[in-house]
Amino acid sequence: MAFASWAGEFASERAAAVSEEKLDRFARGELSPMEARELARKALDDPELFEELTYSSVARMDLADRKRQRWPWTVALLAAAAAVVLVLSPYAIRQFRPSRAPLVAVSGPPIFLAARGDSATVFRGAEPDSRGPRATGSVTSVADGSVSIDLGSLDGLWKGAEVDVLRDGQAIGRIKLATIFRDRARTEAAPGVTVRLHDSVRVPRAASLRAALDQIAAFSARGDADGARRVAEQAAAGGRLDLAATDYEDWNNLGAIAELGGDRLKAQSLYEHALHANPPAPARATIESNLARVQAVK
Amino acid sequence: MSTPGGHPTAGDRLSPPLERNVFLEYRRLADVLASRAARLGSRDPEAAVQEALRRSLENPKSQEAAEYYLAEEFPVGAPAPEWPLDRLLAWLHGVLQYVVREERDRAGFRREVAAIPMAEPADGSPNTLEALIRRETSAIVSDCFAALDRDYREVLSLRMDGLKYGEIARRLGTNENTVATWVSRGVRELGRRIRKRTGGGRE
Repeated sequence: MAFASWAGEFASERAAAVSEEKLDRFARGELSPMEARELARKALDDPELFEELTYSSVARMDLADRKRQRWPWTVALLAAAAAVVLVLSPYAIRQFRPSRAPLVAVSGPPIFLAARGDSATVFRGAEPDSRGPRATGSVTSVADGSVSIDLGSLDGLWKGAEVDVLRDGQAIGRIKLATIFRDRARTEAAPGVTVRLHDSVRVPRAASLRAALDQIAAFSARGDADGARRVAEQAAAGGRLDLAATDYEDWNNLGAIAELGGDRLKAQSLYEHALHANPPAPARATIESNLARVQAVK
Repeated sequence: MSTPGGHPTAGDRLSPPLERNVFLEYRRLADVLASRAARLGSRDPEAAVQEALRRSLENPKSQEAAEYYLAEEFPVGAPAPEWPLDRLLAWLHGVLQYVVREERDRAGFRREVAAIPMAEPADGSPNTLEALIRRETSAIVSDCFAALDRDYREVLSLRMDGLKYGEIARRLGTNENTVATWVSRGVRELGRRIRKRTGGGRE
């Protein structure tokens, strides 16, 4: 036991001889071939270093392969979409009506997936009397160089997040938030930006979507489908769905937002992404049901 | 190739003679891979490594990269290989893991159905092996990826979408250095989780 401990420390010391900076650059794929050879040769004498390099490599190569695989998939989806448009265009032209009603659901509303209980979701989780996340808010006080706004973690903001300040619809600058509460935040006035009471503030779209997804998942976990749908409809009205989701439930719920916003093609693409993220069997059935609905053309 | 106890080992499948003794040529690599094979559960790590090296180096790109990065003597004037070091290490890991599992499966199989001869895989070519390894690794990485902190997942997902550090930084409201740090930490943390998951020793 003592020997194992000593051996472990010795290995760690040897691994430490290779700087963290170099290991970080290796993990990002930034080493030159000669630097890589030098590192590989050191690893041959240091099993712990060899392990670290090997498993970082396994992780990086898999991620790189996924990146490569996305292009053919996207191209295939676009080709399929183009084919559908070509086939349906005469019918679509005859049937076109200038309606803003969403193209949802041939057999029911989209089904959301619930949160799996990670910390971020719990932190912003939807309480029964909670308001939904908002994409815009306003400055509620400016005093002694301190600026307060009526947006907080509930709206996807975090310490250090930057929000745009707008006046009369025009962006006049950006402030970096120092203190975040659930539904409000505070910071020092930024030099060069004269913030006034009632100026508007805007949450970055990615953060806003993230907050909406968290709250949708939390509503769904409580069985509140109407609450989830309400938040999704608000999010759909907010613009592009340009968040890179990371979980199958996020992909699915983004798909549901797109579906509620009337973008069936986008919804189909997002549901497909959800299925590629290895969901467990029950979630897979839900996602497949959503996908089948948006694929049904009437 | 069998151990004295009669259990089949990785080398049992090795019928054609080696054209070159890669075990000697890459002695230090073989040593470090042998300790890995033991951790992965091989009964005969040396045979497993010999088999894994033979199969790994059947792939010309793997051989070219191994000669460049790992050979005792640097091939003077050699151009940088097509495969970077991380692809070579990931490939060696995948093949070794595959060989060790094959050995263990064969051991269990023979204990239960000793009279039936072991069938060779229909196609043992490097491409088929690579596809098998990639499919298996992909499932493990997906599971481990889902368990990463949200910041790491988000940054790595954006990288997978092809965004540059600057674009990610703008999207997340941070700077490029922070993004670069999150990428490297995310990859290394993902690696640690894969290691824990695949029984590669301490996390």
